[in-house]
Amino acid sequence: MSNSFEINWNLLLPEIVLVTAALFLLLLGVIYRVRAGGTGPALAGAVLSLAGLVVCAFMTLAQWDTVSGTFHGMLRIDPFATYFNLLFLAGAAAGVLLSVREAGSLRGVAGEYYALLVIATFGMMVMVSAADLLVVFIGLETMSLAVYILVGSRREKAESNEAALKYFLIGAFASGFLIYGIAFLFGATGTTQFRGLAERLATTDGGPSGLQLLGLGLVLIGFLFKVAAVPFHMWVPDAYEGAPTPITAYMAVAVKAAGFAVLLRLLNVGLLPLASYWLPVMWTLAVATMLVGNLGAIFQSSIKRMLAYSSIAHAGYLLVALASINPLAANPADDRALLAVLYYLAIYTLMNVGAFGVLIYMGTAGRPMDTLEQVRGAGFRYPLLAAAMAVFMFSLSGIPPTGGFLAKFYVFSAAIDRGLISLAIIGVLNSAVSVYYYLRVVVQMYMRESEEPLPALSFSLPVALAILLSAWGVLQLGILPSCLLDAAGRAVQFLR
Amino acid sequence: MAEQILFYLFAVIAIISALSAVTRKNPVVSAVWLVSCMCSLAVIYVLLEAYFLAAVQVIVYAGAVLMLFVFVIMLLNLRTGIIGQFRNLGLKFMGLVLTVIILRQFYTAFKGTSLILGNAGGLEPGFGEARAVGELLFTRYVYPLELISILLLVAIVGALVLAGKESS
Repeated sequence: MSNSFEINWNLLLPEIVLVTAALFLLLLGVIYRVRAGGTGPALAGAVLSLAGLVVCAFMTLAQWDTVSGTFHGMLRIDPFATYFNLLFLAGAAAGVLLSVREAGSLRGVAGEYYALLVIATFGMMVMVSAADLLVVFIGLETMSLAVYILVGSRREKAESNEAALKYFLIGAFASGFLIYGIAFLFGATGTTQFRGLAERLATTDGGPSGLQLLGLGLVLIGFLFKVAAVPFHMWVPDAYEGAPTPITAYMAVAVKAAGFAVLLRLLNVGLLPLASYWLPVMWTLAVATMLVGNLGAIFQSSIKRMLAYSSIAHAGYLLVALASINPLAANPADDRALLAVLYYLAIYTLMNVGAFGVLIYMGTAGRPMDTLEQVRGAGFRYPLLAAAMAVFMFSLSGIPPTGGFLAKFYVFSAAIDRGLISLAIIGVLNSAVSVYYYLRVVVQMYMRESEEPLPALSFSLPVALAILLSAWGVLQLGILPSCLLDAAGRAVQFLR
Repeated sequence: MAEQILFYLFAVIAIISALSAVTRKNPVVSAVWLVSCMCSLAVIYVLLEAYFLAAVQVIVYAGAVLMLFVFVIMLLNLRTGIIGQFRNLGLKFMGLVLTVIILRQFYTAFKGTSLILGNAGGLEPGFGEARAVGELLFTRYVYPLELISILLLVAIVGALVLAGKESS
């Protein structure tokens, strides 16, 4: 046991900034609770958390060229981690922007609300820059715990409480599977570090032992729950519907991206020697997830619930990419499946932030926007908002020239590259089904008259900003994707 | 040999207690079975020469955490009737099928493993004592340790947000 070791604290700087911001946010809650509130704490919380996120983003950006590890190989900062960290920070910033208008109804817990949002993001950053299953697990729990609470942060609403409780109970169960799987992998190989795991798994005589496969299966269950893959998707519609809409948006983009990011790293580093075992699993789950997500979305009258099923369907498309990973690729940057996942998640973040942003903007305090009937005639009453919503719906269903089209194109062409023709065909057919329910929203907005006059909306700069940036991103990256693809290529270069 | 007998004895007790903890209808009885499970695990830690861990297991889990469980059960005044309401034969059948599948997997995984325990070996002197554990925690595992402090902070803040007094 050596006592002398060096810690490179600089690598942890972005995370330290985030935690500091969160601590100040908690303090804010105390200060304002002493002096009776108003909208002050909510606004101050939003400004402070945005400032923290922006500073953190700049520090993360400065790490773009870093490939380094510290803390006895438990922390690994590489472009892959940096890419996803920036994505999480963008998702969190969107969550803050979308929250500003509703935060007035938080009844004195605004500071805590923003602090939890920031800490959840911190948990994701820890997860994706971890090189050890122990650290992954702690990061995952930090993120999950904060998100469970955020889902239930509207205490006066029964559905918010119900959603939080369901999400928490099933989530805790899934975490149990994950830690059980980690224990088996540790028992079978004697290590929890990704690199060590890969070495030991590759050198097992006579193929992997039953113990290793059991560990693989249990670990996969834990992560597939987080990304909402079938059959671990039961919690998604209720949790998405019951949560406050900004938190739904945050869950749909950041939590899902975090799940996929850590799954990618684990599968491509630690569990790569077992690829011939997990690739067929991904194939099967991709088909099931796409089918359940798309068929479920058809029958929803609530837009929030429809987007929840759509998020399951999109997890399915992403699993198609995971099933198309080439474990033998000499340079991971040439593996189009990996590039497709990274591009897809970035576009997916933009589309969902935009779609939920429009829902938030169209709703008023007494009349939250939710059902398909409610958006009738919105195309004439709120032309700009409806146009933005149409862009996001086109992108979600994968119609050019939006980013959503290219994202699906990359995923399916990666599948064809690997000879998974049938999987690509199933994916494209599913995508065609999805056009029906996405365009139904557009049809309701532009081709139906509303029975009662739609109310005037008050202008909200933060929400408008989030919608505008997302719409610009979806179109810009849909027409000129090369800068994002270059970044993704660099991100996966040092993955393996 | 004595070690082997003790291990299997307490392993069986731990499994029976764990099963009882999830199958009993009365939550207080479940909690007591959980205490028994935790204590048998502590004995297994002692057999592995992890004395400090065994002590922590008894003090923290069997003592503090389980005490909290019982307090919460009593505060909520849970009766057996509430838990008896969950009777769904279809779900039970599905559960049975999945259990059989998982047990089958476990059987495959452990098939051919010798039941006679090997010697752990290679342990440094003082391996399971507080000093060694502390040294590991603050050198090799210092990063996870610090992260856990934030995880606990989230839990406290969460309790405040979900259960704190409304201030309006």
